[in-house]
Amino acid sequence: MITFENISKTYATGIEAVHDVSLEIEKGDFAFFIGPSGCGKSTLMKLLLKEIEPTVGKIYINGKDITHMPRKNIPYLRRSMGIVFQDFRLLQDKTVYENVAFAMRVIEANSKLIKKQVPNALSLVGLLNKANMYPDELSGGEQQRVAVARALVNNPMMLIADEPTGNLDPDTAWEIMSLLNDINRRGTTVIVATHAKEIVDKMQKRVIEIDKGVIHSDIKKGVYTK
Amino acid sequence: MNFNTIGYWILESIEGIKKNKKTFFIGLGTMFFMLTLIGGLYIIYLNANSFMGDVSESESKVEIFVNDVTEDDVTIILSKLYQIDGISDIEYVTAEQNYEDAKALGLAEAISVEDNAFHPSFKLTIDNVKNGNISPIRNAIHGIPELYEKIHSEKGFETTETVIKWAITVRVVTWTLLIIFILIGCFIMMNSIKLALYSRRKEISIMKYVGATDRFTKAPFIIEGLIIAILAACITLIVTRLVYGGLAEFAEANKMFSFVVPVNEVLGSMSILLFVVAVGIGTIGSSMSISKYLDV
Repeated sequence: MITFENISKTYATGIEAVHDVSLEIEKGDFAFFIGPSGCGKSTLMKLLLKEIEPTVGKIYINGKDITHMPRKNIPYLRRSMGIVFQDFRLLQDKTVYENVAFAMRVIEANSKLIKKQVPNALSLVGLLNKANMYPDELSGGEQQRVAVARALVNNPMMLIADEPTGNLDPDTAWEIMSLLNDINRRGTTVIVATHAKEIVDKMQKRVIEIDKGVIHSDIKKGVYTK
Repeated sequence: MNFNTIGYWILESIEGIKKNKKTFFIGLGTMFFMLTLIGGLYIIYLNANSFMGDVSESESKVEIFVNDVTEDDVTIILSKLYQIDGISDIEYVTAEQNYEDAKALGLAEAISVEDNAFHPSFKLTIDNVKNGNISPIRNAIHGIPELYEKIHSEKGFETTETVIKWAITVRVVTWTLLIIFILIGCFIMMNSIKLALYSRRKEISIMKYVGATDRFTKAPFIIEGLIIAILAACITLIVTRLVYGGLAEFAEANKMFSFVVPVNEVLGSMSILLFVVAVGIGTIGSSMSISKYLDV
């Protein structure tokens, strides 16, 4: 489904963030990207989201080369991905319902579909009863659930989460990871960049460890090694 | 694109204005100021043209006074004058006739025709003086040796040339200032929209991450820019109607400045100019400012 082929990325500053990375993530996989800060995890995420282009190598999604995809096509690629950030990135002046509906409105979905899909996504994350509340009325965990609902509402084939539990206490972090696990069980490919050692160890999923821009290890049911 | 989307854009633009009222009013005020300057310039341009039109019409007749010419000379000169493009009518006036004309106007009572104070002349009517063709015609006239060596004096050329020079200067200055003001307007609009964008940069970044196209992301901000610009154009037209209308009516009532263009005539063409400029500034200014925020 996702193929990184000999990917290297050197920024304009001259820093090489990733070097000769090759990996494949299959449809339905649940993969953790782990490693210390600055190891290249975020660069790989950005490459996948087409925020940046690799200096060398090729990226394929479903067999299609997206390495030098025209800028006008990037929005359509991103519609196949749901994205969750560490800082939730919710719009504070919109309700929970409106935040989730926002992801559908901006891709010009029709109102009928929005009315059908948004409650579904909210019930999946257990927040249908809080649809009319504003983000600042919710706990951190609940806000991250809203972000997950927003990422899922357009039925993406993969969900990309960059440090989704970084701002949460351990119990809430575990709740979010369980939610991501449930989503994965429903068939969505999930890629998570994280520092959460306990969660990685406990979940026994594929662990891709990156160190100084290269893949240090790639274990199917791995744990945090450092 | 569907009606839902257009409705969403309009609602988002109105929301954007509500959220940034201060920025909106600053943008509206500065755009109004800018469009008032543009409108003011346009009014000056129209009135200057009207004035030039009046003057150049009355001064399109020039007269060349000559020293003694024989009948043969007159025939040759007339035939050569008729060959010059741009001269629509030529009349030869004898010294006696000039004396009679002056007497009729009460200008020659103390002088008799025998005093030799009057000269025969050629009265010429020149076409399209506004187009600036006076100098080539003057040069062509001076190129007739039978006439040139006998010229005593000329009347009308200098005034017409001055009027044409002023008309051209007013035109060039007006258009230059118009372009400068339009560029300043774009700059103001860019800054207004930049402030709106800054306060909504998080929203834009989320939009881009969930797959919004550039067109979709830009639209509410462009509509916001258009609302500001069109509203400013409407206010400018209302103020023009009141202020210029009052002045023009006063001038008409007091029979002052016959060249003053009536307010309805001004508003007709000015509304087209201001709306074109406003839509241009609103669209270009807001489009230019948003581009850098779309690079997510």
